[in-house]
Amino acid sequence: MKPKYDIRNELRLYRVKAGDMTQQELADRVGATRQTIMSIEKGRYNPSVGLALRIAKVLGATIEELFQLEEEKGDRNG
Amino acid sequence: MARFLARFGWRPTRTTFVAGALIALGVVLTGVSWGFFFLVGLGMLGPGLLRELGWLKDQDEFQRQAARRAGYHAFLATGLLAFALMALLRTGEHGIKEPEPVVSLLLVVLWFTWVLSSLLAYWGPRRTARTILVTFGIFWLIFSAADSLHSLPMLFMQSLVAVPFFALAYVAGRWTRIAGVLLIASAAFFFYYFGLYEIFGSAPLAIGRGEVIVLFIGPLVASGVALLSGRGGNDDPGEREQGPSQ
Repeated sequence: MKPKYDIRNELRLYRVKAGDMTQQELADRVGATRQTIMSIEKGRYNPSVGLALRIAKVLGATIEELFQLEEEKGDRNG
Repeated sequence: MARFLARFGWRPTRTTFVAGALIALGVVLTGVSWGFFFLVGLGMLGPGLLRELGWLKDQDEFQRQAARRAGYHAFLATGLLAFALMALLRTGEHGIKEPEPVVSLLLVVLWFTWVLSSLLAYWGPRRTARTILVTFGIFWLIFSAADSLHSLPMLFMQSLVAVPFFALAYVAGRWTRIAGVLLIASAAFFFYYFGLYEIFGSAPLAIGRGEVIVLFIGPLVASGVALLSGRGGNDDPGEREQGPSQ
């Protein structure tokens, strides 16, 4: 059975590192809505490569630092 | 107006206002001529059409994805219903004399599925369920107020009908599973209480029965199922800013 992966993100952590930036501020700077940022943080929405790159640039991080693949729990038999 | 709505976590764009005005105008003007009903269609579908043509760029990628997904859900629901109706009409004994209730039901299902799917994608099940229930409660209040303005005790008694909706909205915000079960149970109760089971009878679409089921029972069932599906944890918390957490 193929392993399944979730995408985990560290957006909130990097918003703190970027000077307690609010979701609305981040949204304004990357050209998205606050709802979109919130949905990404909650794992309800995976952004496009373009939006992920814009977020990474604004937060001063790399894509890999912001988004990581995480193997789903209970499905580790490969 | 926009600031007032933002208090409830809703920030409609200029496009939403224009589309809403077109829909309201269309509905009002049907009193003059039903030809104006086309304005309702323009209000509902016009913005999406302009976005697909690339002439209106007011949504970000998450909103576009939610709208497209909702459109697909509406296509599936309406398509399935159209096939079911075709099968029913072709069997001969169906009790449907006019085409109008059929078209009307298709439009209602199209609109309802699109709106519900959009709300669920955008807000998540918990907030969608709460919003639907509060809206129901407000409609009941308006309805009872209009019906019994002449008598204060009667107005009070009639308004009590709205209380279960507000109570369910409160429960949906705290205990999602319990609210889910209560919503489905109340849908079953109303389905029986209002005699809506007659949709399976000899005149299935008489007296707007199909529309009532979609617009009244539909939201209760859909919210209940969404809450029970266990996706309630990923909800939009509303207007409250999500503070960064370490």
